Amino acid sequence: MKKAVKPVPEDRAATAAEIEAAINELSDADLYRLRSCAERLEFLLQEKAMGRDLLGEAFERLLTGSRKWDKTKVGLVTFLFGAMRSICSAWFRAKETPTERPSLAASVTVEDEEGHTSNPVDDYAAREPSTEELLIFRETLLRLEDVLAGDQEAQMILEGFREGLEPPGIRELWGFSQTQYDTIVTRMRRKIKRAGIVQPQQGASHVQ
Amino acid sequence: MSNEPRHDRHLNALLDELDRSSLHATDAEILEDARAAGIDPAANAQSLKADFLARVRRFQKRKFEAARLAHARQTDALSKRSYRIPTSPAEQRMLLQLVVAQQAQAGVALTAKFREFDSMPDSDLRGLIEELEALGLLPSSNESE
Repeated sequence: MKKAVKPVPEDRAATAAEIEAAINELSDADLYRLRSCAERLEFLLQEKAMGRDLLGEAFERLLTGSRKWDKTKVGLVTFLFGAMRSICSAWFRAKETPTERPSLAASVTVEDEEGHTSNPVDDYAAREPSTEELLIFRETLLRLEDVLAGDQEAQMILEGFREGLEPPGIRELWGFSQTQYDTIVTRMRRKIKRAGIVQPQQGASHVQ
Repeated sequence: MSNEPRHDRHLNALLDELDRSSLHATDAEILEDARAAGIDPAANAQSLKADFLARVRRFQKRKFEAARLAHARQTDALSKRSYRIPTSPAEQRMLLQLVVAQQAQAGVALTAKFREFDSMPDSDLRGLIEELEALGLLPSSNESE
């Protein structure tokens, strides 16, 4: 359950110098994690932007303070993952292209006790999805089923998500240990990465 | 709300798990993934890091430029507002006398520092007038001329 959100206090929000230092400390693997996450979300951008635009936007918002990072709570990579997910969701639901969206400034970002941040401006766009949007999600899930077709365990996990279960529920349903579950998810991540989650209207049901 | 299955939630739950898996994988596993995807992790890192650092530089430059402009605007406003302070000590004393008289007329008592300017050395007069200017107590140019 999502906890009550509270703003990141100004004195805990990372400064540009701290952000720069954190960037310099990122490993090659961290930087690949960021790229992968951004690319994984491209299917939601509906050709309005690319994954690298999303990563760039998340980083710009961090710099300008419209999304504040409390470095005592989460690492930079985790923070940027969350920011990209949130921005991507807002862009997906916005009718206009991301570059046409107003840039709304600082102090509106809020954060829950686990360091998950959200921006009320983005939340404005977080209405219930339309039927058209749900169709895109459904097609994406079908596409993922195609990608994972030969992997029975991955299909079991997908089925768990379709049933609306949380990961512990899925593990319990199928009797997977945490390690088994993690191994399957890693396999899913790699297969999805290889195949790409393409945009449904491009109709790619056909990556082996 | 319709009874349509919430495919967005299902997909989000899956994305959460893919993110978690990526964050929890070891660096060695992630580098192996990159190579399997035909990406040189070092080149990717160099390019992304350069992009991030360039953004930091641009941001700092913008911030510096904004501060410089704000300072310039403030200085400009101050210089426009600046009272033409007489140069000779005699004129400066006359101006101070005028201010004290005007304030007394308005029922405002200035502190002793301002009232006792007669005993001040000439070199201190300008500073005193600048303080009065900052307090908005100097007469308009017309009044003083």
